Amino acid sequence: MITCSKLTVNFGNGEGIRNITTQFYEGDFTLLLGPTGCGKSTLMRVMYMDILPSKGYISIRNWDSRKISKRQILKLRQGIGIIFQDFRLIENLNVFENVALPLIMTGHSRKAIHERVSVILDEVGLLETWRQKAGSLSGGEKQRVAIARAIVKKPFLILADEPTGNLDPEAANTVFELLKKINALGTSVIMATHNYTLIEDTDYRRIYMENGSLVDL
Amino acid sequence: MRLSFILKQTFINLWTARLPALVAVFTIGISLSIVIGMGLLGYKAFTSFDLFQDKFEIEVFLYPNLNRDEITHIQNKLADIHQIKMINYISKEEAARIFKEEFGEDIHDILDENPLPPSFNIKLYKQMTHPDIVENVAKRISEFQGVEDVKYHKEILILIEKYIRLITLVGIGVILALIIAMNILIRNTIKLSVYARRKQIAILQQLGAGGLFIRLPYILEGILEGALGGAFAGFLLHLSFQVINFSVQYIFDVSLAFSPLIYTVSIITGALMGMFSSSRAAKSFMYLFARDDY
Repeated sequence: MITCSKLTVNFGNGEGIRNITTQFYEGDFTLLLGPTGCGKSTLMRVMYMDILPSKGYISIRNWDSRKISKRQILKLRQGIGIIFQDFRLIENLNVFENVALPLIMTGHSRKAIHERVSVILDEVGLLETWRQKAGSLSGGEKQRVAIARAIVKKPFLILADEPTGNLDPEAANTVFELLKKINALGTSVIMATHNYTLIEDTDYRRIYMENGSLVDL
Repeated sequence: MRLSFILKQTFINLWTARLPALVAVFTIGISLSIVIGMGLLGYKAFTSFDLFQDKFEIEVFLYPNLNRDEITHIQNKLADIHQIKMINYISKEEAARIFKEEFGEDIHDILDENPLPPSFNIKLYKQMTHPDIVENVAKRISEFQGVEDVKYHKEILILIEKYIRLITLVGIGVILALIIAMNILIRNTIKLSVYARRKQIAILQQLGAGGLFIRLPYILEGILEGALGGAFAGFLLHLSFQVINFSVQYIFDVSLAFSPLIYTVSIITGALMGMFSSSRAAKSFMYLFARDDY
């Protein structure tokens, strides 16, 4: 599903990623591991084409970084659910509106949006809080809203960049369980983390990074 | 749902930056009222000049002793001048009749004879009433055999030409300066709005929102500010007309008629200016600010 070939991103200050060649498979749950600053987030940004490679290429399904247009990047992002450590919710919108955003921007009908968002909010256990402003929620709740927003558009891939980084262990566990459940339903998940306790009992594929490169262990 | 979301965002943006928005509306109103006021003045000046051009005539006085053939010959030569639109022959008798009409007395009763010469009244094409062209035509006609004198209001023509040029230059200058000022003003309020919402814009971009979906609330904000400014400009012009009419009613027997169309024109002009300025500003600042934060 995702092919990285000699993928290099050079920020000019020594940071970035270097010569990454690997593949990510459809339906897999892949863990991207490594210390802070090792390039996990950069690799994820390349996956949703927020940054284009300086050298090498990445291809995701039919989209290839060497010939992708701005319009195609939007299409790609509409097929990917992105979850960030800092949630990135729109704080002046309520829970429902935040989750509905991807559907609103792609022009779904009011009825379809209400039906889909209600189901998703129920799945993440936030149906009761739909009226609350995103800014008033706890960290765990915010992350569950972010997950709901990521899956509401039925993406083929979830990119979760340190989704438990700002959460207490209990909330982190809830979020990880949700991601496992999403993956079990067939959606590919790539999760960057350095929370080794959280993932110690899982047998998901692990990719290690250090200083911008993949590490063979 | 998409429309209601965009409208909601527009009003949130306006409310968040309400003070700069209010300042923009007032300043747009004042600037636009000056622009439209000058436009109206210019229009009035041009229509007056147009009317003058329409009525402008050259009088060609002939020697009294010319016979019919000689007069026809002069008329044919006048018809050959391509700047001339209309030639009207006024015989001695016709001239006496006009004299009686204008002064109420018969020329024969005053002088026992009719000293008024036969003449041609000539009208030129509108675009041929420039003082230099008129002077050339008059000079050419005065050289015709049988023509005693050629008269026209040369001084008025030169004066009007001079003022029209001045009004046009000053008007265009002031209007351009104010349009640039309004553009900068709207651009700045949009810049503030975009800056205040830079994180939201970055989030929408990451979610795959199209440029227009992100920009539309800011464009609508600009349109609203422009339209409100336009309505305020209409109100200021309405007020100015009333003040002017009240001030001059004791001096002149004239009054300026305020057409409700001025409200429509100023609202539409303001909205169009708002749309133009805000769409450009939203586009440029959206990419400038949104990338800084995430």
